[in-house]
Amino acid sequence: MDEHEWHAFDVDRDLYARQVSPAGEPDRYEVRTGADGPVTVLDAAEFDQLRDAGPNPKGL
Amino acid sequence: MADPNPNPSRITAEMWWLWIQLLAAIPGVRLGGIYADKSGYHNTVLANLARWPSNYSVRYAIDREPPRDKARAIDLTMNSTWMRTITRRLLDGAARRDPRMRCVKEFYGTTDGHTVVGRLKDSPDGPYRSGSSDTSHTWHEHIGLLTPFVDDIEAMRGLVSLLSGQSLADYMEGTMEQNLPEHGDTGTWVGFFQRLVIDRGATLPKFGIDNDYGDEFAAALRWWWKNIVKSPSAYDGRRITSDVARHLMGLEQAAPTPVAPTQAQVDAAVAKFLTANPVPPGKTPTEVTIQFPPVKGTVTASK
Repeated sequence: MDEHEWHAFDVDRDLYARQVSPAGEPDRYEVRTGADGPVTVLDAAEFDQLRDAGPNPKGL
Repeated sequence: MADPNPNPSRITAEMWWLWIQLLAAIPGVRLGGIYADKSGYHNTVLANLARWPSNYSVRYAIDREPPRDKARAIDLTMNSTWMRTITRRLLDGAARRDPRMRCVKEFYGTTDGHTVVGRLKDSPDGPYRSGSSDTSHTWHEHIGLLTPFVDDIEAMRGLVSLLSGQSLADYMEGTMEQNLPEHGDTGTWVGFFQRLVIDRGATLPKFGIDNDYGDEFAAALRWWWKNIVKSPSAYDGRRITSDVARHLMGLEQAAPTPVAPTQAQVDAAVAKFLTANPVPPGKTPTEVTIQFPPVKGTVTASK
């Protein structure tokens, strides 16, 4: 699998995610809704927040 | 009420049951998917054979068994704490060949949030070897199952137990005990115990591990029970009792760790012993041996 391939994050919410930061750089992720939804860029802390089911970062 | 299986034609009722149980057991877990139209265990045997015939998920005969039209893996999106916890439980289970993981072909996750770790094997009782995958497994756990287990509810019960953190000993006291094999039974569960009795010194010279609980396996169990366990209790080898299973799996109850008595307890015990066993007039006790509990002892009195 491609290192930066989209992967289902939450099928119930139709959320997909992928890590886009090159090796050695701070973690950065892209999250989108559905196959063609707008892409939101999250840093590591925001992505952790999304995983923690806390307040939705950046409206996700 | 739990959501119904969204894709019964591709997801077995047992796999969906697994997800519903894990949803209740793992705080905040989200489903990253069961069926996916891509190569590998998230897709069906038939789809892999038709479109990716050399894919590893259909390489071995066991993975081409029924059900051939169902997905064979589940992805669980979790926070970093639960990723580490679940991955650690799987790694520990793989290391000790926990029977609740017989169904697990492979898993990938992380124990530090940065490095992806995983294990895979080729048969229910085969040894796991290390594997790795892409970094998305730092935020989602992938668990792939050997094909015949995707509609096996007992396999799912075992996996839920392990992932929920239940000890094997506790699980043994529950559902698994009802399924311990006896003479005449066949299946991989029998083979699991055959391998264990060989590991513990017995032999199956004629049939080997054949998943068939016949006379040879019964004789091997009798021999092991008498000569290796050295149990004083009679055992005819015709049924895997919970006691036998615990010994085979190395779960027999260890003796309680002795606790050293405090000085106050020693003093009180000595006084109690001397009260009950007074020293003859003119004698002076020089040595008292006390054993806890109950209080026992001897006095060596000088002239």
